[in-house]
Amino acid sequence: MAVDIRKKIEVEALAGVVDDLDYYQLLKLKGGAPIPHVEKAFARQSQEFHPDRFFGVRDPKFMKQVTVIFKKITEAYSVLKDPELKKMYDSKMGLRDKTDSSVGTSSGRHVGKDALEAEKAAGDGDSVVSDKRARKYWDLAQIAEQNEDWNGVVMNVQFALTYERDNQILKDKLATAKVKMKEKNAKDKNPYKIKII
Amino acid sequence: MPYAIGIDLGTSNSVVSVYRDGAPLVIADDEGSRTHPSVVSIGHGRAAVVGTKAARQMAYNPLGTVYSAKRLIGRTVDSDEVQKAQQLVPYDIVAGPHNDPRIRIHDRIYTLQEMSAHILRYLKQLAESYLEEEVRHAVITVPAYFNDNQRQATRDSGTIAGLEVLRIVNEPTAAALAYGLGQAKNEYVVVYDLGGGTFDVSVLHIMGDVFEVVSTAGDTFLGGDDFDQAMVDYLMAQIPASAQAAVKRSPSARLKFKRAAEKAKMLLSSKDEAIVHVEAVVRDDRGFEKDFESNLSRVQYNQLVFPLVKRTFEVCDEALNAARLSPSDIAAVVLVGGMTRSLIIQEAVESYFGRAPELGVNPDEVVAVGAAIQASNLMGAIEGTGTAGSLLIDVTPQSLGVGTVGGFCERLIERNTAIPVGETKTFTTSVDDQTEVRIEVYQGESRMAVDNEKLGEFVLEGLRPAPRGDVRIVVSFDIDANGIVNVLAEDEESGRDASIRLEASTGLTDDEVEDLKFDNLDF
Repeated sequence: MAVDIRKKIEVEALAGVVDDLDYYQLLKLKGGAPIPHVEKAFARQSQEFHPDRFFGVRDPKFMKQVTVIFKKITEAYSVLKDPELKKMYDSKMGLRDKTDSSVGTSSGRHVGKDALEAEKAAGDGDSVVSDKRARKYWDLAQIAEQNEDWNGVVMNVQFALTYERDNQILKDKLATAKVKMKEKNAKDKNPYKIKII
Repeated sequence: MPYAIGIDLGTSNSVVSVYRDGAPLVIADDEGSRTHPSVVSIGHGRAAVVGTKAARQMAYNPLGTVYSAKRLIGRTVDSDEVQKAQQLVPYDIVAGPHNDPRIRIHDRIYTLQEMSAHILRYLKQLAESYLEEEVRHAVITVPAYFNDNQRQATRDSGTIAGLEVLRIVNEPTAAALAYGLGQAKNEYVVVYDLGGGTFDVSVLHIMGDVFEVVSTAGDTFLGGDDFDQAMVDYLMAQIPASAQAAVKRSPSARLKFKRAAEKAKMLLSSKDEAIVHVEAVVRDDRGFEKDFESNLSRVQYNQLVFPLVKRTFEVCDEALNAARLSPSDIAAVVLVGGMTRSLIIQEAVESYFGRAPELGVNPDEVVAVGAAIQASNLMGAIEGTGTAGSLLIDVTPQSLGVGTVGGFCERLIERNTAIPVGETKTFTTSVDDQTEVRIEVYQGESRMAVDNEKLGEFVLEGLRPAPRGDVRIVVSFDIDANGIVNVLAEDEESGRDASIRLEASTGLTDDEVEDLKFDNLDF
């Protein structure tokens, strides 16, 4: 099948700027649009840019561009259909607490899905530490813990403790992480010799 | 436009459908049967008989008649499922060069891909004789929980059979497509798919012509066969203790009990009580064969299978939770699989969802019909007929990850992410002057690598000797619309691409598939 030349130009242009667009722009929506609108927009944009719409096109460059666009559309959708992530995103974009009449005027900045999810995961840290610098290391320690990287937990909790010396929760965490680290290092055979960063 | 067929390649039965003149058709064999046993029987020549005729060979040629090949395809020979099958099937399973199970028939060894290819070729021929033209394109369905290896193997089977496989589609997704076609709805639909060996649930959001899979959950060790087995166990317990061991040891006795259980199960969908009669299966003290007879009421049956039915709704809970929906948000429940004809299932579905399941859909044919619709959509795109048909947006049912130090698995792509999808990860060396990095790829939800399915591994070679951490390799992991994983590595400093096909750990190489192609063989 031959692709319509206008479509080709549209896809090429869009693929070039796709990383600069915010999630509402990717779905061709006004900033802060409600979830039912997000769903409709996703269906509409999928009809336009899903790679299956161009199934059998023998133009690898074009197909790569379409795929890149569609992946971004699904990323935008996965954030904006999730009430919690959408709320966080809207707040970063400066769209929070606005009435419908002012929808579309964003004063904030686009933040990617990974960052939103990391923040969501680290959200529990609020009450544990109060110092801003300690908070950063506490967040890192929690991510390390999720990955069962006990060396990382020990290191980051120690850093956090330098800012909040008397924090009992941090002290307890350090003690348990040290035990875990020893256990793990003992049985760690390092079979792959790779490190993921 | 050339026709493209939709194939539901089932564990016990297969169905082939084609979308013609705006309507899907299910194609019957020369005996008028619309479902075709997934059975291949090979005689002393190399010629294979498939379908109803092959099923009749089971008694005469038990060692050369292969059924339930779908349970084995794409697995390792030492997997639980293959070990279990080895106890149950009369044909001979041996280990292949990729640690894959193969089947030995009359001193010749066959891959599972060839066995499935025989079925696919038979279905292709049925379609060709019905349409009176050659058919080259097909969409083939697989259970949503099929992993990458199983999908690859299924696609290779199609290639061997002489088909260009346009797409591998998940069975529940295909069913939803068949249900919602042309209705321009905006609603959530659940597909409850209880097959012979697996149970899948998918939640879909239908938005006009766009079918978005929101979540999928499943249990690969729960199916209609387990319902039969529960009955067989119950019945066998009634055999006098002195004779029980002998019956349990005999494959033919077990098979007789299984058949009797299946029959009773069907009766109990319309009657309150069934008499179970198994001929000449028990030997008395003097060695004479005696029949076995027992009664089973529907109430007893329901009690027997209740734990299994309950498990299906635990999977439904999981799928709905992942979709952030509750049963009352669901506008329709589509049933798939012969087992869903059972009264206890239909009643349980109604009580869980608060609404009766859709009855306008044939649970045996709906998957093949959906596959035919998708085949027609994709063929339409190829031919550029301009008609924008329905669009399927599926998800990956299992998370994808890589093995890390300590035997853990780090997730790169979460389950229920829309496909196609891709993720990149930077790897580095952990020892000075390391010139090689080995990366193992896993599918599954466990933090521990060993608990997940290993898809394969690859090695990045010829790295520049440097202090540890200096060399950086960016690896991208893509899951395509077939649910098949592709891996590409790039050395960040040299910019050199190292394209890697993730060799499925049990899969055939491209050359092997080429050699097996039926077109290249004389029959």
